[in-house]
Amino acid sequence: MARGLLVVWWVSALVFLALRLTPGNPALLLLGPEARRPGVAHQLVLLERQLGLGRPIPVQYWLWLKPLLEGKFGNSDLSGRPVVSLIGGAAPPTLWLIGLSVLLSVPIAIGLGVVAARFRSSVLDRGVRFVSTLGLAVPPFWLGLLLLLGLAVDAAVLPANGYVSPLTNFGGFITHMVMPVTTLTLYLVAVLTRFVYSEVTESLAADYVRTARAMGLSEMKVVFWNAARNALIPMVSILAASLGPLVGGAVLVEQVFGLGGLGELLLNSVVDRDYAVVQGIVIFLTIGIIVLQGLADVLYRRLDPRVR
Amino acid sequence: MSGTVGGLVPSESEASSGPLFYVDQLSVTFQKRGRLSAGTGAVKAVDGVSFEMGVGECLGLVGESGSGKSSIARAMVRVIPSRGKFVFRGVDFFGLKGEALRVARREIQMIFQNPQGSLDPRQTARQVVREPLVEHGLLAVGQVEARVEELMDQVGFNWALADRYAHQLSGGQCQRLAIARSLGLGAELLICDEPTSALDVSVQAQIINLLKDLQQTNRTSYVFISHNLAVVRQLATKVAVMYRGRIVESAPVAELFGAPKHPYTLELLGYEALELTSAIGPARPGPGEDLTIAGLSSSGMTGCSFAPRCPYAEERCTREAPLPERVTDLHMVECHRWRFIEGADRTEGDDGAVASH
Amino acid sequence: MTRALVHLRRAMHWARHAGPARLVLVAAAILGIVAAVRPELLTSQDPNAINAHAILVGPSWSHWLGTDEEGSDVLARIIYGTRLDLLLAVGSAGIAGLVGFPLGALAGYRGGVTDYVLQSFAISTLAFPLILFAVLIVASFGASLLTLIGILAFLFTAQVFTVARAQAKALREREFITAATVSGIRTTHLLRRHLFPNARGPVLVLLPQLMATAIIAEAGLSYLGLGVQPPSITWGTILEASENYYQQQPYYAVAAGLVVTVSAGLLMFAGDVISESLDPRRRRAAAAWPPPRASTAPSGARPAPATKAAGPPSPTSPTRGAASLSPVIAGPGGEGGGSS
Repeated sequence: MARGLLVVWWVSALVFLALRLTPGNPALLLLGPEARRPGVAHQLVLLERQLGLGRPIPVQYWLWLKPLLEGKFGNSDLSGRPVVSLIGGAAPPTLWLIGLSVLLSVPIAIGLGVVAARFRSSVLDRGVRFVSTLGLAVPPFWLGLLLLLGLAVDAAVLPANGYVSPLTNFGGFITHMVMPVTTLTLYLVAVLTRFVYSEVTESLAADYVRTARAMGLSEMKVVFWNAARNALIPMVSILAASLGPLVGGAVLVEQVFGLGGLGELLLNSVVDRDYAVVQGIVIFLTIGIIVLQGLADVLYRRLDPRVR
Repeated sequence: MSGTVGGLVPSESEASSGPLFYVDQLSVTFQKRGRLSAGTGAVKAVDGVSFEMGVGECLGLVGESGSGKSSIARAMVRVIPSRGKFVFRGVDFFGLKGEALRVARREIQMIFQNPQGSLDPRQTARQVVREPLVEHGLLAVGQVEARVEELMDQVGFNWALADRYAHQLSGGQCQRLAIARSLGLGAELLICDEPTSALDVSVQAQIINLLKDLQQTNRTSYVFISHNLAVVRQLATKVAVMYRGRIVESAPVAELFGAPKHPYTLELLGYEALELTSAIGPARPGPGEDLTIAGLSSSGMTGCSFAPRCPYAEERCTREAPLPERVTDLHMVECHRWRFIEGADRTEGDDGAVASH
Repeated sequence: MTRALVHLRRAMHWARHAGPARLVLVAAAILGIVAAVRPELLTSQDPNAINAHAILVGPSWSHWLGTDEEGSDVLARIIYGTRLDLLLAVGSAGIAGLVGFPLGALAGYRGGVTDYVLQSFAISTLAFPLILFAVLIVASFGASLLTLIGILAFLFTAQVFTVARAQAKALREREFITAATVSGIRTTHLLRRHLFPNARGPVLVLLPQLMATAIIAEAGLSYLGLGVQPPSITWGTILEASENYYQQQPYYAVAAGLVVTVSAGLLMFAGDVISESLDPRRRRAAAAWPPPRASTAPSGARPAPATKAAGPPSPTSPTRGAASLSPVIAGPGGEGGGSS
């Protein structure tokens, strides 16, 4: 618990430092392109005083942190709209993408891993490892590109672009999500399968499984039940650890398929120097990840019979 | 439950050689870090233990797992924190720091239970023996190799294997190396923590013989920890029996095996108890069982810690912790009932060579 | 000098001994290094040459992988791009190893408050998704190779720290570390000779994987426009450019992505290989160096000590009263054989 807080604090410090260490005037950055307009000078001065520029760093940090703690993420400089609503608007595609991918990849990975462990052979061993390494080595967005090349361009079956909310058009939602979700799922499956495979292989060698076999249960039952159950538990922590790369992959895949989620918002804001939005998205996502990881930690402790 | 100066009381017959070292009221307490499990709080692994030894002697420390013998060993070499005193050749070993401690460590070395484990897997046998010689600057560079071979010779380690790694050597060979390493440092006291438990019986004998030889030639002293009484009997000059962190009986080896007084010692030696006069009741936990489960935590208890298991326990034993009493000059026991036991008729079990597990 | 020779012989033995996999790795490594240092040796084309007549041409004899949107040879661009990618990968992983390993090992060994604090930092850094962190830094400092190296080095150091720390913690409990402490050697010596060498293993496995991550990350960041800027060439910038034309000239994008995938894959594979060769079960074979002639004759490789064993006992050794000692000396087969 204490560590969780420390982590959150450190993350906020990192974000703050990244901002402050910028060469140049942070106020200018925050105001964005607007600041260059004449007549905005007084706004600049106001912001500078708000940020406490020229005062010691810890003070600046607190001045920066306080509004955030109160949930005031400020307004986008480009559109003037509150950052929070911008994020809220852009979040759904991203969240759907990540959520669906996780939901799909977990059972697939467990299934593949357990089956592969069941029919263990040195060829299969190498094969699984090779494929999963491949999955990790492939840049996810390139994979998306390949998929586009293969499926969308010629066949025109699945749209190459865009996002439709499930609330407006469920069918459209599905067709638009198929390829992005497939791309991300492939990546996740690669990561998870390798892990499941090694975990299951290990636990198959464990004594108690042997005992269960000796007790006469049918082999398949033994393998699937015990092995799958044991693989599930650490899976929680592996998933938690992959959250970071998962978010990164999601951002990239979004770009390829033009889903217009948080990734696009983030990148556009960077290009436009809309720093308030950038900051908001980064903090939102990072805190989200940390919270999820904390939950996963608790869940893991609950599930793991050894720790109990 | 403690607070008196217990343990072996030095007697006049030992004063002539003068003690090599003495340990006074040594205690080791572990903090139990149970987050989910019930029961936080301290566990006293060693509870106010005192003993002493002269040069060339061997103290056998016996007891079941959990009795605290390994903790004593680790405390003495300062690998774990402890309270109490350990005075070696008149020097307060626990009080040393820095360079003085480094130098003093040479005299007190340890032989571990896991033979391969005590050697760095990346070192060859030769390097294992050589390293302390070089690091302590004990010899001129040119003389080191010769000394290494000399030491290997002394412990009976086959030169041909000098360039092998720990995992390529047998348990016996690894222990020989460990001994050679200690000798190279000039150790006068070897604390052996179950050094033979992981070895074959035949190899055990070899190592024991080696230790005996060194005892005679180098006047090396040992604290020999084991749960195997047969092995202890071969090597020790005196024996101390430990139970739950206290020494419950100690005596010269012949007397301990010949005329034991403490009920636990009797149990270890395989004597069957007549007259189950236990006033406590039928729920007697066996060796190694966690008394906390049975609701009888030794750390919270008053009275003799062995009482729940003792066939001779009476009401007094649960109330009052026994103080050390002298049976003879060199024979000490902590028990209320030892005179009764001495007088009662007993059936001897297998003579001596019973290893309790 | 002799030590270097020993290492070299060992490496050759390793390479020869192995299957085709390791040879492929070695070959790829050599190829990569040549491409980075002396790209002109591998291609005669100018990667920046603009040729308006041959835009987005497919693979042909003059352009093995085709041309890009400016008419430059794709293969040449890939080869020339190797330098920056390799620099990035080696630089970031190298810094992470040099900084993260000692810090992590010390933290794991020492424990205490410092360890707790440092580890919390590491965990938090690890929680930060790479993309977001990169976005933040690039937004502040601008996109350049140095920025990229800095970002990756920072994140990688946290990973190396964590792994090294875990190893050190596990090692701390091992008996030979305790024995080393008991023998009174200096702490620096203990760290240098016993702790660090034994803690290295997992870190050595991690480093190639980090390099692979660096390459993939660079591709991703360049794709987003956060990587190095033209006219610098990296695989990521090639990939990014190709994405715009993937319908007109698929080979362009395929080639670009393929080189990233293959390099990253090879590096990860290298990590696997290192992990296998460090497996303690393999150590038995590897550590018996030079390899014994016959598997069951322990003294076969070293005739010299055998004669010594048969010689007269040295004058300073104690009289061998105990008969139990002699059989051990005389018969190498007695306790020999070695495996436990």
